[in-house]
Parts: sequence; C-alpha cells; structure tokens
Amino acid sequence: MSESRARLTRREFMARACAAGASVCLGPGMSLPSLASASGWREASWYRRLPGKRVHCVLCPCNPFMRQCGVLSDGQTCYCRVRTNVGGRLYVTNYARACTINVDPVEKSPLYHVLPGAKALAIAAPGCNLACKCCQNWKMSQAGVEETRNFYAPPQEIVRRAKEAKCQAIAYTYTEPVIYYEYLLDTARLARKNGMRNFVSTGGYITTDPLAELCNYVDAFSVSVKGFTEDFYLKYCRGHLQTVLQTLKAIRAAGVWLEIPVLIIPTLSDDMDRIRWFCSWVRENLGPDVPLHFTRFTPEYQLRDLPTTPVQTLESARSAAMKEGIRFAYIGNVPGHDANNTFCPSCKKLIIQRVGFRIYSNKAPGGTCSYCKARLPGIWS
Amino acid sequence: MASVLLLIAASGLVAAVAQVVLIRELLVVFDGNELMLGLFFATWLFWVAVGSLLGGLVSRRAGLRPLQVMLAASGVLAVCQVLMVRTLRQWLGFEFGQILPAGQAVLAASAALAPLCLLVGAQFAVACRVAAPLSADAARRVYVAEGAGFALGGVLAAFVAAPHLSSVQAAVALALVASIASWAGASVGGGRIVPHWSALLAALIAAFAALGGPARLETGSLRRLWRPLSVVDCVNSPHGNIVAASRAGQISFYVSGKYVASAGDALAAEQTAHLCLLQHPRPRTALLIGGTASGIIPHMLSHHLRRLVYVELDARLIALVRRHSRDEFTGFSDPRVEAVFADARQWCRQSSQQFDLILVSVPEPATVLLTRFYTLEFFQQARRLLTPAGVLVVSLPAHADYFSEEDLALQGTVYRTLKAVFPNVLVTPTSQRFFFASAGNGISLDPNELFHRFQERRVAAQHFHPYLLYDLLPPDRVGRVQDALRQIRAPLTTDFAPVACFRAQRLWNLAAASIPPSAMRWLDDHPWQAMVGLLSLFAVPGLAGSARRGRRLALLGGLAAFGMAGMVVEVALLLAFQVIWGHVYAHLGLIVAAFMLGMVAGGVIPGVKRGLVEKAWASWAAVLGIAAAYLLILPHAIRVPPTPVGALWFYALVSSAGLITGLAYPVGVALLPGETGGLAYGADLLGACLGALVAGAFLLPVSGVAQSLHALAGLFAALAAFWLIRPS
Repeated sequence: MSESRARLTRREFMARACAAGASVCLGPGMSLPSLASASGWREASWYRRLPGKRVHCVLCPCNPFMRQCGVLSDGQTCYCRVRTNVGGRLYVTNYARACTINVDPVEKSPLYHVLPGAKALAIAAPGCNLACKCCQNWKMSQAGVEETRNFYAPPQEIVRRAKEAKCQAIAYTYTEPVIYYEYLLDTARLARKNGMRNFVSTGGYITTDPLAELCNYVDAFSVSVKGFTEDFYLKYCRGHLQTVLQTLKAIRAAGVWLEIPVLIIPTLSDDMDRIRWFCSWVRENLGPDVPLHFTRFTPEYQLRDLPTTPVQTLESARSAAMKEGIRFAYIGNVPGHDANNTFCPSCKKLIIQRVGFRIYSNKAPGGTCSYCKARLPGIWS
Repeated sequence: MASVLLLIAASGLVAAVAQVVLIRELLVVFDGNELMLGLFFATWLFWVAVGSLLGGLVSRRAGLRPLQVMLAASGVLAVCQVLMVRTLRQWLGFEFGQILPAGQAVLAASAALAPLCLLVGAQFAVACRVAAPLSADAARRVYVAEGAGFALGGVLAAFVAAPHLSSVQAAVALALVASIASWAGASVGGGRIVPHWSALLAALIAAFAALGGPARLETGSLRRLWRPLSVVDCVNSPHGNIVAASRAGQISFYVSGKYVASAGDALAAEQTAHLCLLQHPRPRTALLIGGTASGIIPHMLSHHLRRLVYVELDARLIALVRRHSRDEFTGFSDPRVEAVFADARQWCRQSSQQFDLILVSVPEPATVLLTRFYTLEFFQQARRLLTPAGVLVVSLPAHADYFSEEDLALQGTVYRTLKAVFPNVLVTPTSQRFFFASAGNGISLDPNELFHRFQERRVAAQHFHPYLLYDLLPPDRVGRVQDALRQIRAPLTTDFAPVACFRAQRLWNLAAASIPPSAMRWLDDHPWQAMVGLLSLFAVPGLAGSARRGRRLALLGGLAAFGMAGMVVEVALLLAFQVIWGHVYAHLGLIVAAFMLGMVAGGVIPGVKRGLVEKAWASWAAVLGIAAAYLLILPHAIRVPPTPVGALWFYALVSSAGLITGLAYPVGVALLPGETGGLAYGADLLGACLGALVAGAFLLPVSGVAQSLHALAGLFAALAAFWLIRPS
C-alpha cells in the first residue's frame, strides 16, 4: 500500500469521529460501539466498565495530576489523548495510525547489547501518558490523532514493510508505546510469527498486568529515566518515579532484556548524589549487567533555554556508575565519544566500536569477547 | 497651565523609558518572538487605556497635587516593577529555562506592568481635567505635551538607557527625574523654587544612587533571575541584554534570555560546519552570518578555507564570548578570519565580494527582524555574492523523523522561496533542517559522495566522523523530505510579506500550548477573512447610527481606528526601515521621535484650532480622508533607495503618520460633548492595543504590508464617506 493512499486525512478522521459523536444525538436506536468501530477505533483491552456508562482505564497508573485520567465519563478522553469512553466502552483512537515509520539501527533506541548493527522498522502512534517538558518527540507525543499527520498502517502492513526492508526487528519507539498498547501487541504477535523480534522504547508508565502480557512478546525494553526524584517527575513529567522503578523491576523479573537511557538535564537532574543513588538502586534491584546510557540534554520543547549538558557532567555520571558497580555505562548523544563504545568488563579491551548509531568494528561476535572469550549479557543472535 | 504641561511631559518621558526598560526585562523572562512582543505592547497600552478611563471617572475635583504625587510615584514604581519582573518566574512556579504559555505571560506581564501603566494613563486624564478650566483646548495641549515628553523619552531610551545603563540604573534615573519634575511642577506655577516633599524624595534617590544602591539591587535581582545558574558577566547592548552564566564549570551565553551557546561545547557546531562545507566541491572562501559564539569557525576553517568573513550584529556579544572562551574554541584570532560588526543584510547589499559558501546561522524567523534572512530579496542578494558553484545554507529547527503541519508550513515557504532564486535546493532530514541552495550542481545529500569529499580534504575533525553522514542522511529519509517539500503549496516569504515569521510563531505556539493550533492555522489559511473581522471591530461602531449616542460611539470607534492604524503603520515603517537600511536599533529613537514630533505638529497646526470651532464635522471627515489617502500611497512610498534623500523621504513619511494621528485626536475630542480627553485617549489606546497585538505577529507577515495598509485605507475611506454623507 502506498503511503499517500494509506494516509488517513484529517478530514476523513474528523468525518469518522463525527459519525461516532453524532450517534450520541441520534438516540438509542443507534449502536455507539459499532459507530466507533466504523471510525477505525479499536476497543481497549485494559479497562473496567463502571455504572453510569463510566469506564476505568487500568493500562497506566492513574495520574493524580491530571483531571481526565483513570475513571472516564461517557464522551471523555483520557489525558493521553487517545483513549475515549464511547457509550460506556473504552476505545483507542490511534490503533494502526502510525505517525512515523522509519528504518533505524537498533542502537538508536538505544539498545547497545541487542543485535549490534541490526536494522529495525521503527514505528510510533501519537499520544503519551506523561507530559515531559524535555520531550524530543513532543510534536508526536504531546498531540492526539487529529493533531498529527498519520498513516493507516495495520499490523500486517508493518510486518510486510519490515520484511521488505530486511529488518530483523520492529521497534516501537519515538512516542509512548504503552498508549498504543493494542496496536503494539497485535503487531508484536504477528512479527514474532514471522521470525522478527520486538523492541520497545518506553517511559515505563504502565501497570503490572498489561506489562506482564507485553513481556511475553517483547524481546528488549529501553526504559528511559528522566530524573531521580519524585519531585522532578511531578514537576517536569506529570508522573511518578516510583511507578517507573516498579516497571524496571518487573521487566527484569520477567527475564526480558533491559537497557536504561538516563537523561541528564543541567540544573534539574545533574546532581551527582542523586545519580549515585540511582546507580546503586539499579545495581541492587536490577543487577550490574543492565546497561545505563547517560544521555546529553539539548534544549528542546518547553525547556529551550537550559544549556546543553556539559560532557564533563556526563563523564562524571558514567564514572560514578562504574564506581557503584554498573558494568556497562555509556554516554549518549555525544557522537565520537569513547564512552559510546563497549569495553569488555573482563579484559577491559574495546570490543564494539560505534560511530553515531553505526557499528564501526565488532570484536564480540555472538556476544563473546574475541580477546578473553568472556560472555557479554544481551541478545546477540 | 505651565505646571500641568511640565508634569504631563515628564510623565510621557517616564512612560517611554519605562516601556523600553520593562519590555526588555520581560523579553529576558519570556520568549522574545513577535507574538509575545505584540502581547507585551498590547498589555502596556491596555492598562494605560484603563488608567486613562478610570482617571477620567475619578478626577472630577482633581488638582495639581495628585498629578505631582502620581508622577513621583510612577518613577519609584518603575524601580519596583523592574525588580518584580525579575522574580516573576518564581512567583509563577516556573523553573529557569522553561518557556511559558502566552496566557500566563500576559497575566504575569499585566501584574508587572499594570500599576505603572494605570498611573501613566490616569495622569493624562487628570491633567486634562486640571487643565480644562485653564484653556479652551486643554486636551489638545496636554496631548501635545505628553507626546513631546514621550518623543524625548524615546530618544533617551534608545541612545542612553538601552545601550549604557542596566535596567535598575535606568529605573532609578527615572525615579530621580520624576521626583525632580514633580518638584519643578510645584515651583513653576509660582515662579520660584519652593520647599516640597518631592525635593526630599529626589535627594533620597540621589543619595541611594551615590551610595551604590542601584548596583547592589542589580546584582541581587540578577542572581535571583538566573538562579540556579551563576551570572559571571552581564552587559547591555543596543540589541539586547547579554549574559554569561555558569553551571558545573560550563559557561553558557544568553542574549535577551535566549540560550545561544556554551563555551567549549562545539559538538553541534562542528557537525553543522562539516555538513555545510562538504556541500561545495572545493570551498575556498566563506561568509558566516551569526552563530559565531557557537565555536563553529575553527571547524569551518578545517576545510582549508583561505578566507572566512563573519558578520555579527552585536560586537559586545563577541567581546563577551572572547572574554570567557579560549581562542581555539572561537577561532577569532586566526589570520584568515575577518570580522565585520554590522547588520548582515545591509553588509550583503553593499558588498561586492564573492564566496563559495554563505552560512546563515541565525535563529528561526520568530521575529520580523530575523525573517529578513529567509526572504526572497535576501536570497537574491546572497546569490549575487556567490561564486557560480557557490552554496547558500539556511536552517530551521525540525524533527528528524516527523513532519508536523506547522513544520511543513514553515519549511514549505522557505523551500519555495529558495526555489524561486536557486535552481537546485536540497534539504537534510536532520533535526536541524539544512537547506542547501545553489546555482551549480555541487550540492549533494549522497553520504558516499560527501564521505569521499571529507576523506579527500583530510579534515582534522574533533568529534565528527564521516561515518556519521550515513546516520544523518539515510537515503529513504532524504527522499521523503524532498518529496514532501516539493509537493507543498506555500506562499513566498518576501521582505514586505514575511509569512515565515507567522509560521515560526505557529511552531512556537505548538510548544508553548498558548493558542489552539487550529486557530493559528485558520488565520494562516484565511488572512482576508481575519482582516475583515478585524476591521469590522472598528467599522461597526465607526459607522454607528445618527442618534446622539450613536455619533458618540462612532467618534470613539473612529479614534480607536486611528490608534490601531497608527500602531500598524508604525510597525510597517519599522519593518520597511529594517529592509532598506538594516537593523533598526540605532535609529529607533529617531523614528519614534520623528513620529511623535509629527504628532505634536499635528496638534499645534493653527488651522486645526480654528477648525475645531467652526467646521468640526468637516474637519473630522477630512482627517479620515487624509488618513485613507496616506494609507493608500504608503506601501508604494516606503520603497525608497538607501540614500540620504531616501532617508529624508522616509523620515518625512514617519512624521506624516504622526501628523495625521496628531490631527485626529484634538478634532475627535472637540466633537465629543462634555469630554475632557480621558475617554477619547482611552479609545485611542484600546485601538492601539489591538493594533500592537496583530500588526507584527499576524497582519503584516500574513497579509503583507501593501494589502494590510490598503485594507486600512478602505476602512478610513468608508468612515470619511459616512461623515461626509451624514453631517450633523
């Protein structure tokens, strides 16, 4: 299917949405859910029906900072912008509405211990359940379906494109994959059937049961941590740090590969004591083999007037992580930096050299160090 | 009468300087785009209008004393409000570095500006009331005196306060001038110097200044404003406030509160330099416009350039960067580098040099001043300066993996404008979109070709590896971006219709979540409907019925239309000046003074005084007609050559605009029974408030100067016809 033909125009979307909305006016003779389905919406998989045509979405932890979250009245849309209560049923409006589809190296996710140099078909649908003021993808994540330019791309289409582009995996990334959970899950099942892997880059704001189901189909998670205090998450992300930490533990407990990008924002999350605390938390709760990526902040979205993170701060954070016992600590968003590379924790030699998101040299084929034969944790084949 | 005129002239002076100082401070706290600038001016005018209306209501038995108190208080308030603006962010609960939505910015600006503005507006109404029994045309004389004071204040603000004083120093100086003027107001009437409380106040302020109080206040309030960064250097230039602030050993540079670059951090600059220089097969000479603080020069030179000319508007910014950066970072000391401190547009017009590459490294076109580097006329100038295979580079912030409607709109207009001048235009799919334009065939987005050029040149790069080219320019994304931009239909951005400015504000608005994006999109798509809606606001009351109350409304509507048109014309003239002569800063004071002097002249024309009594209605219709004719010819008349004769002609046009405004106010007031001036002044200011809001942010960029002024001419012609057909 060509992109121009597959793309759902705003006019079409509005027409379909209006059709669903109009049913409210047309009275009891019309079936609201059937109209919502006609508009291309998909019924959500994680919610409870409540009396009075209310619903309780249980996909994400209820966000106490947002008025429209958790329990939704008829006609209300959750603050993630893509889950709407239509006549007492919860519908997902961004199912199969991809706002971007690209072929990316897996290193972009960032996943440094997963199939180095492999290609993944990266997709995203609009919306997010956090409101991070530092978001790099805010034009897609802080908008609903009607505010973004989308393509109609059902799971079959995604898998077909991935095969066509000779991708080894599908990466659910850019925005928050949790809020296109149903789309993700259907695509992931189909991808797995077709011998492809699934990688998810997320903010980790999800409840336990949906996460457990997701873990059955996902091969690797990249869960970004944006700060180290509840206060930071409350002020700058409208969320809870504790929930993210629980997600990290659950993923690790499920045995799914995990890497953690850690954004270091000058003045907001560059306190070395907090960074040390987080590293020690990772070592104790997740183990020393979970790679940390200390990522450089560049002025973006609503934090445009903060300076970029000094490379020296990132180096200090990395060094603190190593001292706390983390075996793989990287520096991200600084192309050409030595800490973009993987060093063998055993013989300390450079084994995977990266330039940007490309693999320049790999001395650990199959995840074994060519020099000392030590096994590296991760997914290597 | 002399005391009243002296006091109101001083009030005008205080208002002019305080306006410049406070709005400059607000721009440091909030974003300085055209929309915010318009909002701040509109907020100022709105509260002055409210002050004038309230002053007219409560000043039934006003005397000279309240005027003296208000004048002295407005000086002291100016100091308090500068300090208040610097704490606004903490009050609103916003951390440093965060952009604020326009709604909150207006509320904050209101809180910061309202007390002083209310006083300024009330002083005018009270002055009119006090002067009314003393003169038959008191309102006109007060209007003229205030205008003269404002003109002088404008000159002082442009030539003394902005370039040489810190905001606190300027405000303290104002407080001193206001208290001395208040004292003088008490003394002038009796013809001798009298002991007065304002003299004591002046002495106290002088002592405070002599003991170094302003410097301590400045330091303390700056520390609070920039927390959690530490201010290590702060200078004011005619172009803005420049600050060097440090955090974790890294010094970052800010201009008017906007982050520019960090000393020693040239990661992005290096990538930019290599990506751009590789576009020319063999670059030998380059011109860099802006962006020198980012440390880009050494990386450009690493491509074996023989000569690099950089043009920066603000020499003080470069001096500050030099003070806090190493030479290897800035590259300023390299013998191949030639520095030019001038307006780049003006320099490009006059230069006859030839370059292989012109890199325009200025921020996105969020103001009309910046949009001058994205227009058809500038691209034509640039092509003249390029060698046959030369490359022009401009850039816009974007998203590497996604095109929003707003991105497409902005990039579409820049792409089409470039295509109108250059046969070959390529756009990178990077998060900073680079537009490479050339008349030759050397530009390329093929990573293999660029890799080869990089290797061939043996460039000594620090953080850049040619392998990165494959990440930056994947062929599928390159193709997608070119396809999307080729298909888009967008208007060209020109000097006199800088549509890119509005579209950059649409993008800013998307991040700031201020106005519904769909509303901004509608304005962009339907400029004529928006124009008709705007003019209807003035046409409906302006063409009100023939009943006595209706005529009063019609007159107030007409005065408001004059206020609005005055503001639109002022912005159009400033835009024209920038286009013809380059940056406006050095001449801003003169332009404001020329306008205000024209206004004063309009108010003192003897024939008007007689006309007020004898043929008031005909005079009003005539003034409306003159305004219509002026607006009709102005778009053609402002296209003058940049010669001394052209400058004289330009200033004559500015004074004419002031003259017509000056004519309108006394004539309008004379026709309002029982009106001493406050209500009419309020109507005039409310119109100006709306004009400030729409002129730079929307009307002139989207509709263009000619269409906007012609539409206004139509409004005034209709109003003139109405008064001619239906005389009283």
